[in-house]
Amino acid sequence: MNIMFVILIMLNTIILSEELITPIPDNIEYDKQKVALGKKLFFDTRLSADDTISCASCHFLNDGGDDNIALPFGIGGKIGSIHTPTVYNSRYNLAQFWDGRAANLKEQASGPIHSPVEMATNFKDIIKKLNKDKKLVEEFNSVYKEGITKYSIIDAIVEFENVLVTPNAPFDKFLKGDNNALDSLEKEGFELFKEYGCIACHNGVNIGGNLFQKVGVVKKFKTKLKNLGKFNLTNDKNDKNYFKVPSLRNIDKTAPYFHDGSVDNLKDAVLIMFEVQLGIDPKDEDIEKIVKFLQSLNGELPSIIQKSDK
Amino acid sequence: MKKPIIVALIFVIVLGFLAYNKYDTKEKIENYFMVSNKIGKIYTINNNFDIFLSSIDKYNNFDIIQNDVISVQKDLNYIIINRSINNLKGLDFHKKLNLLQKDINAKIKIIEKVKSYNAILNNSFRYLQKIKSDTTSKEIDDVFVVLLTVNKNSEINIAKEIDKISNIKVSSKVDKIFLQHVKIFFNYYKSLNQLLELSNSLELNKNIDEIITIYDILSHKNINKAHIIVSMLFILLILSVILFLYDSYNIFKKQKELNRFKNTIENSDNVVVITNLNQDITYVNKAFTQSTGYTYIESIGKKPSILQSGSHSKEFYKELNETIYSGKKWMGTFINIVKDGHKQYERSSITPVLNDRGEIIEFIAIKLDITKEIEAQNSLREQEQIMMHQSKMASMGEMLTNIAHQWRQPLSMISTTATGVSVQKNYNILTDEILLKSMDDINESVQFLSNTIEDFRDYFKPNKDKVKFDIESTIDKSLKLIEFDFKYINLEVVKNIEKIELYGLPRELIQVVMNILKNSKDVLKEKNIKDKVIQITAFEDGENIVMSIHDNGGGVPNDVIEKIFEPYFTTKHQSQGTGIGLYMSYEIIIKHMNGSIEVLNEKIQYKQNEYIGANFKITIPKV
Repeated sequence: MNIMFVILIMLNTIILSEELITPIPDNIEYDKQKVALGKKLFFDTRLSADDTISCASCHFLNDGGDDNIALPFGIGGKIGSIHTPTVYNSRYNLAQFWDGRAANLKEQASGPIHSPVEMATNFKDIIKKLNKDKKLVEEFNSVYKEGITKYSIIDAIVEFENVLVTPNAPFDKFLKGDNNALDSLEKEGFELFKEYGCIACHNGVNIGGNLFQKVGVVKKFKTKLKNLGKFNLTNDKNDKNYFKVPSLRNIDKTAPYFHDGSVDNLKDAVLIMFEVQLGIDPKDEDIEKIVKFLQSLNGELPSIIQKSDK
Repeated sequence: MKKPIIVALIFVIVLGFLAYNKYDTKEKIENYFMVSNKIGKIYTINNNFDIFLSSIDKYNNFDIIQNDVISVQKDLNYIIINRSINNLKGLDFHKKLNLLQKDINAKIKIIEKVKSYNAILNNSFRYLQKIKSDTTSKEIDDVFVVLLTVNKNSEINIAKEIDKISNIKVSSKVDKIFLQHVKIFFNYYKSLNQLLELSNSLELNKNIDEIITIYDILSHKNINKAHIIVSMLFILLILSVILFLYDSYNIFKKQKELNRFKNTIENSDNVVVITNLNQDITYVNKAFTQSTGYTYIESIGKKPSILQSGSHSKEFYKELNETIYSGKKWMGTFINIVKDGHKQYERSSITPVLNDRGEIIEFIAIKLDITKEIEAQNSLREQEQIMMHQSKMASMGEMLTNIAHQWRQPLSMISTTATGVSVQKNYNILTDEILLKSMDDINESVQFLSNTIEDFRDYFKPNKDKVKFDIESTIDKSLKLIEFDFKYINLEVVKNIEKIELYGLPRELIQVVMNILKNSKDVLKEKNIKDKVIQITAFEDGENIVMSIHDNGGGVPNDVIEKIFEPYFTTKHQSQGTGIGLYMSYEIIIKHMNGSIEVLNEKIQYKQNEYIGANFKITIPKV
């Protein structure tokens, strides 16, 4: 056991000393039929009470996977309570939702469906509606022997969401050894990103999404929302204002920023982070470089998403 | 036949159990290694957690620790829902396992928080190092020293340091920022230490070690149990194999015995025929094919009636069938016609074979060909008849002498009378009176001659009808046939005969008496006894008549007396005796009259003298 232990420590040291950010893998295994079915459901408004809202209503797959507005509106024009995060690369998050109340995508999927300000419905009604669609029933039956159920609906959607990754961003190519994938400004931006400690929270394959952090470490984060993040779940005062650190992938396309969607401009968002999280007053040119670096994080859309998809 | 099936069944069941348990044990062992492996992994990951918790001085890729978190949760879940784990009882295993899960989840929460502290502490620390050179206040130097040694000097009171910092008054902007970050650093450092202390208090390593130990103990107990079961089943299997072999050996032995019986039957001199309930032949042995001429193949499926001769009545077969179909053994003699047309006698027994329920399933007929014996008997009978005839013929000579002798006087008398009548007529002295008297005399003589012939003829008439007859007249007739020379040899016959009537064949009795008398006469004549006598007595003794013919001829020599009634036995000269007289007498008395005859040497009184003589005693039933 002791020898094993020593070896493991060495192994861990090697792993830990590797890159803090890793590229998105090129190939993802998935079930084509399920993904096709999940995609259909993703765009299906029958998943809402009055057939007006689909998943895609708030997750524009051609535009960063979010809704480009501060707070979403759901059924009957109701306004949501928190900014819509992107659906892209969400499989790499340690949990779902800003407060992490869903451990995984499967748990997440039923959230918006039941939310009174989002889709405001339930699976019983959805299944009833979907079962009237003979073609869809056939498609389900060919994939799931049990047909349309809560399980199969969620499973198909999640399988689709698992495919929604954006590999081969210029920065990924750089990580994989293509030194020309980034220009010098972007490279400098990455160095500054590390130097200032952005990387302390934005690391891993999703450049974020793998921890909860207090928003407003050094200074209070100014917001109109009264959402206290993780505290909502745990009621632990130490969890106040703890939110899941968002991924920086495709950050250029997912404005507005922060959980309240209060900031439209990426440079402003970076400045706020320096102010409230790092407590650092950076040079303006450094911010520009960091923004440049962040813009190199736009990846390729998955092949299943065509331009026509909205 | 049931026993081997049961043994085979037990064998199969044991084998099945063994296979199942073998599989079960294999699964248990595999499962044991799987779970052990998982626990080992949890142990390793817990170490990873500890490494992570102690590596706060650098940036981390949190994906790595997150993967460990996911993996440890999976492994824990696997162990907790594992079926074989649920079967492990005792030593608070499940309680400890649940506690472990709780502790690991607590540790995961700690790690979650430590991630954020790690980011904050690292950033502040790095930034402090970066801006230190720009600070101006000397007090900041002291703070910085504390900051640099805080993780090496456990005596530093962080709360006190925070207080100290709050009291420091600085003027420059950098100094202000510096102190602000120091404050942040110390605050989070304090929180971090609290978390690490909490983590240490969980003593997860110890708990996991304990669980590994308990799991090993319980699993080995379980696996040992399974091993014991498999061993026991294996022993059972061997036992059932032995039982099976023993049984097979018994069957083999029985088979051998059966074969021996079969061979015995096959090669027996007795004819053995087995038929089914419908009397279709299912088996015949060699003796059958030899004695009947029908081959085995020809016989099978046929009925035994192929041998019927037609000599038996319907009643015979009815009685036979009634007997055997009622489950009883039948015994009797068949007269058969065999394949080549010969007549065959078979002494047979037919035995029904019953099953467990007492139903007849087949018949076994065991038969003995007694044709030769029957034929021998028949030829014996013929011989006897020949001997009877011979005997009669033998006595005929005697009788002819007798007749001749008896006829001599009446013939000379007829001759004399006739001559006298003729002479008297020539001399005319024949009176009517004399003539009539002479004719009467002649007539009387002729009558006598006729009677004599009648007696003689009578004797040679075949014995057919049973009649009533008188014992005295029978004895007299016998005497008459042979007594002609009794006077000349001075032989007296003394009779003492009661008047008894009986029913039967008188001529046969005459023959017997005549034979004995002749025998006595011959002996007396040969021995030349002076006063010869034959005493004949006959009296009734209940249902029997006892007759004795006793002479005074000295008796039968001892070496002869045993053989005296055997055929062709004679002591006389060849010309005198044929040796069948007494044998015939014996046969007639024993077989025809159901009586008895014996000869004894007994004393006899005659004319004041006492003699020894042969006494033939005959006892015959009256009817």
